[in-house]
Amino acid sequence: MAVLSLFANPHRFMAISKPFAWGFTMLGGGMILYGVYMGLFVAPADVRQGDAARIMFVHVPSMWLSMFAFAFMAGASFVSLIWRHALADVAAKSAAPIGAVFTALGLITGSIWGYPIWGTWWEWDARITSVLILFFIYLGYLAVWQAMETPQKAARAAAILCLVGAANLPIIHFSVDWWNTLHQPATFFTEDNNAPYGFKVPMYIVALGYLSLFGGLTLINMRAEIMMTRAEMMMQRKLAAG
Amino acid sequence: MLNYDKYAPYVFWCYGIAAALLIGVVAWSVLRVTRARQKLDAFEKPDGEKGAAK
Amino acid sequence: MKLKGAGAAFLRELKLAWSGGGGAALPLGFFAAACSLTPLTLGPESDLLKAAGPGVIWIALALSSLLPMERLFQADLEDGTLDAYAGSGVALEGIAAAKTAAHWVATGLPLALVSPVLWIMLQGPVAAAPMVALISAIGSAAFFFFGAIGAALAAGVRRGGLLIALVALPLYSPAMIFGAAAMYAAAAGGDWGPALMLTAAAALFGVALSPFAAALALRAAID
Repeated sequence: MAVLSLFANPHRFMAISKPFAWGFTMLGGGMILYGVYMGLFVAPADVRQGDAARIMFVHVPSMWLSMFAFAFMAGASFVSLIWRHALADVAAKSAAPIGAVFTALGLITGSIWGYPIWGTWWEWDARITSVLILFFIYLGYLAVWQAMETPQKAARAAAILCLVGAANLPIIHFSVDWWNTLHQPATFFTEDNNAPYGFKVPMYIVALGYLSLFGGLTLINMRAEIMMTRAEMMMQRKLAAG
Repeated sequence: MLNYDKYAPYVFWCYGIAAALLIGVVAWSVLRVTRARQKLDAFEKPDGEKGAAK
Repeated sequence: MKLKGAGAAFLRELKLAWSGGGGAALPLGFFAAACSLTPLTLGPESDLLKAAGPGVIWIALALSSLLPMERLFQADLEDGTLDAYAGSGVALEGIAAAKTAAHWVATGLPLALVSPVLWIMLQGPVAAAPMVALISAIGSAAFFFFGAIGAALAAGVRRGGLLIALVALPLYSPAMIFGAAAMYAAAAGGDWGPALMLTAAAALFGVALSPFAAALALRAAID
């Protein structure tokens, strides 16, 4: 009975998810390419930062995605802990590496952006520092999945860690802000508050493209995960049968 | 076109790294799902009956 | 009944920590060695030590607090004590809180007592030494209770120490920031009040969150 309810949903998921997985991935790729085209060719150079501001189009949306992916994982973890929904575990696990890649991308592009603007490869800016801590939380989350003996135990431990991390993120963010204002003069990192229209559009297009890509890749990895679990089960059944 | 003078290397490095990372994660995902599909097919459709319903 | 179980666990844990072959003293040694060896890398100039000392002590305190975490729940999971607790109807939340609190008393408080000595060795003003002990006591509570979440998650993992560190260190960041700020304020003779309050808030948040998260993780590890 328990096994049945566990696999009823993944079956339905496998039946309908394939077009969405590939569709979102390709749509995301297309939107990113279009947004990058807009950002590199159409958008004007920024008044203060000149052409360096074009880095914004890949950098800022990846920071958004790093937070969105974690929020998604926390939601899935919550569902998994409360309702023991097998698909929710798979979703959180599959989203994690994608979110971690976006986080790494945000950090790397932030670092490269910092050099021409601030004159240093690593500025302990509040926002970048809290994203760095978020990146370590991602690493811990991935490590928990790696370390556990059984997938069931890993799933629950990872879900707990994800929720604890999510509960702490606002506090970490606040403390890093506080620390930063304590140690640093205010930086002139005003991104998009009064960015002109021509600046916002490419950024939103790339952001939507990232989001679509994230969704597609998460679905692809969920499908891979479910297929591997099923193959594992069959292997064990075969071994048990002799 | 694309004359970003002194900022050019930074901009292009950023876009290059973004492309590399995103293409990398797409390739990794596709590789994973292909491997999983192959592994599953090896069990579900043993010897010969490749056209069987899934 | 339930509280009684937690109280018994607290006393048992405390007794074990102080009699168990000096296990509680190891983090003290690590803390003292890590702090007193930093002049070998920073150089002996007193100005530099004065500037870096509070931060060095604080990061060393955080790392020392991680040391008891690997065995915090693991031993009880391996020998079935946790199973017995879970089976006897005692709330695991209480057990987790009691064990963490006992380890904080056995190890965290001694760390806080050693802290002013290291403070003076690193050229901190002697007048601030009692403050340093207080800040360290509150900070180590935050480190122990947040660390206990990692300890519970990794309880079933062999050689889980590094996993605990990776999981717990990001959660340490508020207590690291506020505690170090309080230490620097104390060093400068300034107003350490707000930073200390925020350190205490981080510790309280840890105390409130940790038993529930740890109990959840321990239940997952048992079955």
